[in-house]
Amino acid sequence: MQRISRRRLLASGLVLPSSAYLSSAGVLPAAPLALAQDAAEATLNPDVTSGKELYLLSWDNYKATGMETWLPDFEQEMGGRVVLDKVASNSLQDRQIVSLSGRTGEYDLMTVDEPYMPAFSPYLMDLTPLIERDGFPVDDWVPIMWDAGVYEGKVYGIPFDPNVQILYYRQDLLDALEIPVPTTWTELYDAAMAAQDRDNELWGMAIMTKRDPQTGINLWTFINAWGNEMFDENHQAAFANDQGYAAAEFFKQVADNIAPAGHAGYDYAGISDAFATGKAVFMYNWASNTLNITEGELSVVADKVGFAPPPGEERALSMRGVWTMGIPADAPNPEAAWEFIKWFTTQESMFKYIEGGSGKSPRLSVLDSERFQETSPDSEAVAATMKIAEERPIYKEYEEINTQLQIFASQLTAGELTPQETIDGLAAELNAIMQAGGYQQ
Amino acid sequence: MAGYEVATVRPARAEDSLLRRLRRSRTLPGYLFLAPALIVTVAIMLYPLVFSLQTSFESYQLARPEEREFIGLDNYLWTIQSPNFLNSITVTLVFTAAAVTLEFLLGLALALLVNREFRGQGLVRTMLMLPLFLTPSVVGLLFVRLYYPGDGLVPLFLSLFGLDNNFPLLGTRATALPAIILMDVWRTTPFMFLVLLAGLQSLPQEVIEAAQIDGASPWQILKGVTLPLLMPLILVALTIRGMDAFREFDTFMLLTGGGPGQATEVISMMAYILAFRAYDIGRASAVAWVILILVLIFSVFFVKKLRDMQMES
Repeated sequence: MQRISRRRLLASGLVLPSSAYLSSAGVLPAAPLALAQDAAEATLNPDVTSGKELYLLSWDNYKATGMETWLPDFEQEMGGRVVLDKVASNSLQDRQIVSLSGRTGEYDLMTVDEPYMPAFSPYLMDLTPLIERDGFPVDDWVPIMWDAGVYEGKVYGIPFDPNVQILYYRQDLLDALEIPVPTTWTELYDAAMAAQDRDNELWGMAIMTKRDPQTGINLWTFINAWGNEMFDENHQAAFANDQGYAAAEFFKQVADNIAPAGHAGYDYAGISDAFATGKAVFMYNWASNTLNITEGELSVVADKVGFAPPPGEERALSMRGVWTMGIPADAPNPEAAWEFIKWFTTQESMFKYIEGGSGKSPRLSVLDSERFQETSPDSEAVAATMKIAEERPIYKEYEEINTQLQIFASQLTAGELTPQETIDGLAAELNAIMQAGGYQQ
Repeated sequence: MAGYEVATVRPARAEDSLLRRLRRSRTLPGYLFLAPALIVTVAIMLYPLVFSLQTSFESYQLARPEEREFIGLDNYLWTIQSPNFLNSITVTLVFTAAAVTLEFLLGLALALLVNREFRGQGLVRTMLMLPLFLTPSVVGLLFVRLYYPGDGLVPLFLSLFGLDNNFPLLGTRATALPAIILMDVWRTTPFMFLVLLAGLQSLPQEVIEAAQIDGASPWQILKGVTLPLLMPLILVALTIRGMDAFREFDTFMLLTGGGPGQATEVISMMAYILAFRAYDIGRASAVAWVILILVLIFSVFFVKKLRDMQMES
């Protein structure tokens, strides 16, 4: 397996724009970044956490399951105890906004998915002063991943689990047909058409189209890959053009010709399972699915799967999806919570997080290590994809935007709207949201 | 002086009398025992109502708590004018009317069928009531699997009749709402069955026997005797189920998320999306109050009908 070079990551250009931004925000020093392997850790202070019980609101899924196996180490090393309050993933954000806006003070810590950071920011602690005070090793974070915890120049969450969407493909099927790994969506479509066997339920690409956040993300991906941005600098929807129509047309073709029959009924887990059980040639999905593919009980493709960065069209990109750890502004034990974050994001804890099957790490020193690469068969694809990861629209209205993406994408793929109607209708709705939010004059 | 005496003595007497009355009161201990529960209930029920009524007149977005302000009826005007409202109220009414009608007809048929002595009647009745014990979310998850394209039991069964087993029953406008109605019928017909069976068993048998002696056919007995006698119970059952169906949320969220497009977006989901997707508590509260008012109108209509019938009888 090829080792990822941190220097490659640093040289990829993703560091400089972000670090410049962070420097301007006062989070990073303007000096050149230190090499990650020399990254120091912030000094831990067990006196602050000793005897404390910290309540952490978290997802109830494999992430929490993995964390539970090694979180007791916190008690041994820091003298405090962490109580995980696990909430089903589809209701976590509801619980968070209720708890935060109600200022209940019931949690010391929260795992916050990045698109919710702007909306939750009024209720989260600004961690910037603590970062500066304790010399938190910011320069060991992949900068674009670090940005996920920053809103309007303030750090509200420390990124601990970066996710990007990568391409999963059946190496054996492509090899048999001597088809190279596609680098554009059009190539992928052609390869899928050639390799699929729809009569025997081998679909070209596992993708979902029901009204669901992931379907909205799929439409976002195609719109951006065809060379557009969702919004211009004046917060106007910027994709109602020929490329936008072409992107929507492509999504419709994917749904009609290479997606599983019944794609409108598949859910997120079903897509991953379809690929794992050998029913699809390709899958474009979050890298957090890798374990389901390589080690899942259902998987029959563990030794047949390949990983690649996302295809492009006008440009290659992947949506960034980073989980961060934040402290509610009304947390009962903010200092102890901060000590926990420092402990939780040390290199050693990050390795435990990865090895527990919870996800990846945003730390360069971890990504650059042999230990990580031995654990993660997709590490090379993930590292390459991190270079081209792009953030979603950073607005407090993100959920409204994604809801509209879901609605229009499901109507497009169901054949209720033409590609042009989809794009024009979506643009009108997004402009209305931006106008209501006061972004447009 | 006498005046002073009166002034000092009278309150003492009044106090004495009040205490005596309180001591003698038979209802006071009852009220005292009830008080804690009453206070808690009123606080739990009343506070959210008052709070949501207040926020329904405000521009109140959770993501911008500092911009909270009173805006009068704007949220209600926005709600009524919103195309989403028209869509979701239509979906809700279609769902409520179809589901409750089917549940009533099936529940009545089952109750009539089971309302007799036969071997294993206890087992049959218990089996018929089983879905009632499942929570809506469990039923929702169950039906997601049952309807799943490819290996779901329902598409597999329908494939016996020539339908593609990969057909996404929850993914097309034509089938998504009927599929949810079917699920709701499975889940809540037992309620209708239970209520109507209890009603049938409490009917005066002499009236039915008299009709039989007069030579009435079973259909005539059902139409002319049983149903009129059952009518108050039927109205109660329809009111309860109608109000429930009008507020249905969990199963829609789990099965379709409102899609495809907005084909299954019910009014409760509209309120949810406003509150937890747009974080717009003001508009969500206005929609919630509109739901409350509509449900109130619906239930007042049925209660009035029920009262009229009782007056007639």
